[in-house]
Amino acid sequence: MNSIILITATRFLKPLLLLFSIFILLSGHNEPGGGFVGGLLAASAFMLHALAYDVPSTRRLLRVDPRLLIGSGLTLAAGTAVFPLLTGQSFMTGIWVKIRISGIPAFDLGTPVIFDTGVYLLVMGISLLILLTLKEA
Amino acid sequence: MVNTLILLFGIAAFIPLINRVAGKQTGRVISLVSLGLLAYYIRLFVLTDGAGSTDSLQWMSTLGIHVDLRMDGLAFFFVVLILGVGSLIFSYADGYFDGHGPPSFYGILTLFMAAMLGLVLSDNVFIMFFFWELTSFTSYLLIGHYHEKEASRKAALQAFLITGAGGLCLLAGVILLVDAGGGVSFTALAANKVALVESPLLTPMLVLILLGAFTKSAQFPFHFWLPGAMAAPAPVSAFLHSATMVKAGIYLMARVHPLFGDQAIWTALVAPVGSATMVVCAWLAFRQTYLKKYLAYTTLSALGAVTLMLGLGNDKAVLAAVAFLAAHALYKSSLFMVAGAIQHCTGESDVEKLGGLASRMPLAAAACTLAAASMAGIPPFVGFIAKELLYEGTLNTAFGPVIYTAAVFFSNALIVATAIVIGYQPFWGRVPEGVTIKVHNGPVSLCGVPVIPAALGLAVGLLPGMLAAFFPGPVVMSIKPVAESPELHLWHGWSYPLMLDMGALVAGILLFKCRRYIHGFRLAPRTWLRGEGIFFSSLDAVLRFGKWQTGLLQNGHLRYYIRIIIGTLVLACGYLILSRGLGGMVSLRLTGVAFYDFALVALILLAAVSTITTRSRLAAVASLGVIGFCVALIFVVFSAPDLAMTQFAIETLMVLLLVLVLYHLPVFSTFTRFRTRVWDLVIAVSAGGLMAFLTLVATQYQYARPISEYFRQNSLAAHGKNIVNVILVDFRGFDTLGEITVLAVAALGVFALLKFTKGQNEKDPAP
Repeated sequence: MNSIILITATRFLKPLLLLFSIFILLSGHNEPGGGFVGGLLAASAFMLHALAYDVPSTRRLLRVDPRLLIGSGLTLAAGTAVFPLLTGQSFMTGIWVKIRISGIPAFDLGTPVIFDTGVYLLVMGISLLILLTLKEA
Repeated sequence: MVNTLILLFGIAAFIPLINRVAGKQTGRVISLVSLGLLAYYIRLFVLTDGAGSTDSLQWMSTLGIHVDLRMDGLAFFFVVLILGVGSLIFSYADGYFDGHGPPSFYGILTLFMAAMLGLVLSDNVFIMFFFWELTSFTSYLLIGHYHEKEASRKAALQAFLITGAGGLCLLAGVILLVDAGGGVSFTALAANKVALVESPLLTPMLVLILLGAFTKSAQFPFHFWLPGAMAAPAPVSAFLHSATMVKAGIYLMARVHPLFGDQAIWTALVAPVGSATMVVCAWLAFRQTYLKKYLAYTTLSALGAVTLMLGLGNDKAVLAAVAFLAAHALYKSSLFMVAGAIQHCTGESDVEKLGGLASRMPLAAAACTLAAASMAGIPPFVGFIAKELLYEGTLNTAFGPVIYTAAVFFSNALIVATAIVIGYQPFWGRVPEGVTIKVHNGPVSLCGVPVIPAALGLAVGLLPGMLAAFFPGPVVMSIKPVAESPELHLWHGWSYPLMLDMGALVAGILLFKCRRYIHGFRLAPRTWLRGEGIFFSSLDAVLRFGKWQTGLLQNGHLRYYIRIIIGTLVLACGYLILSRGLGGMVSLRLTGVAFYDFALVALILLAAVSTITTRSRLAAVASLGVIGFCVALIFVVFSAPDLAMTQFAIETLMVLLLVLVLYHLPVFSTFTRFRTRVWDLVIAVSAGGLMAFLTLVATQYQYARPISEYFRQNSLAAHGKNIVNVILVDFRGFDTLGEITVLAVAALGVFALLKFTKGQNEKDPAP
């Protein structure tokens, strides 16, 4: 598709969408958001590129195969679920640590955010897998 | 003890690595491991003086199911059998396969050994059941080892289905047992014996458990799977189908003997089945010509004899059962291994075509002769002691000694005749007319290993008191505690059993001489009446029914599937609602509804109508997109920002997907008749009405406390202010894990389908 409007819009929207998707992922626990929406937004960014240009350049931009994204997403999610078993707790216990850095108020970091990242990668992977394959066919 | 099981499971899992290191010696490596484990168990038994050592691994605390292991005399006996015969078999397998054995074979065989070990050591009935099923499963894989041959596949499936069906009965019986006895372990159940015996569920419980035991130990009428299983390689036949797996049912009967053994119903159920198996299979054995079939049927007969003894239940009978089990394991494993060696070296397994092999296979000849002598019950072999005890068991019973003794005598005579055929003909007999036998020599372990159990049969027979600390005393005490620990003697004095035994020997020799005339005597009923016939015709019937039903309901049209699913749902729920007059449950209140709600609903309805009626594909997709975005706006109106965001993102991608898909399809045309479309309209409208009704009922009636309270209170404790997200990744994280797995699988499926058809299209050139 050779639409100049679409190409220009893509150039601005793509980085915005990608940054926003990561922001949504990380802020999901206390604000609206989360892994699912983040993944979809990231996928939308790449799909926008695919609509404006073509699929091979999108795949080059993506650099990894969507199936790798799916696999790593699942591994992250399942890993955070199984990890507590190694420390003697039951399956899927959330492990939280309190981070104290001078200058910013103390906050908590925990395994649910890693789980959510796994979901993010997976949702991005499946959307891109299905849509890019469809577009190629 | 748990660690030994884990070790064996670990070996099975890492077999490819072990095979890469050990190569042709893989079997010997595992053989050494099992010998080491055997030494460990013997030491354990001696240290605790047979009082019963226990070990436990926590598993499901809420159900009370832990891997509880307990070794008493009976378990120890079987452990020795499993590990002892197992180590012999692994060495033998090396020789049999001669380096051509796939590593998976050793792995599955190790897995089987581990499962069998777990079965006999389990104190917890459910864990025992788990190992029981695992042995069935590994047996299926092992019987079907030569999976390119249809006979192997059919035999494996047959064995699996029969033992599997029995396993289901066993599970039901075990659940009844736990329910009536109030305990999950054999020790707890034994303590509660009175409640068990007086329970009204006694008969069904017994029948179900016995069905499980009978199918596993191939008792009549389930005996036909064992001869079929001879399609397996010789190591498998020698290990599973003579010494261990088929004895699992016997083990179970021995294990529950303290609970039910003195009940009249036990004897009434077990003894007739055992004696029927013993007699019928001895007769069938005599009429065979293939070596392995001989061995299969005589194994069945032996199992029947042991079952009979356990059924009769008196002291002598139990001793006989134990002695016979040991004797049989020794001589039968040896004979199976010899049969495998003959098959490997000459390529022939028909006894009628073998003869005079002694000069060329001396080790095998020695093993075979010793084992066959034990099988025939010639003194001083251990087989003789066992057979004498059999007669003592039947003569001392209160339930019709004459008929059981006669049965044992008859089958014994046949067994003796069979033993003479097997022991004499292939090695010492004349080569039959017009037959040439080529012998190519196999490795030493192939012919050498069988000598060990056969020689042991002689040794134990000569000095039965040598193992008195282990056998048979503690074993019998675990099955049926008696005042004085019983012992084995070679010479019992001039008594009826001795005379009967000698008589059976003579009769057997006579039968051997006349066997040509008896071979022509057909006694088998029509094929469809025999157990095997019934099995195959019922299997056939099930498959035919499945095919018909699939053709009816799954004919390939998507429209048809949707109609059936939705139609059934609407009819079922509709019938329920109308018949009970539930229509008055809901009320539509239109007060307090704002204008934007109306606007959204109107927009959705317009878009829906537009989707159906438009002729343009892109317009239809756009209308669907409008519906999706309106739903997202509804989420916004009802203050659900997470849902709204997700819905917007999904809807965008969904429109994109539909456009990409529909781009390749032709223009919409109307193929269906007007009448069909009217029907579709009716179904669609009624489905929509049903869903609306259900939604209204759900929102207007509260049957239980809403769970949102719990989440609201505990969300901050879970370090999150966004309750929805906390639910997704924390409270209900397991659901999310399942969902993303499903998504991954679906995506991979779509990918595979798209690539597959694309590849196919590229293969067919355009006409």
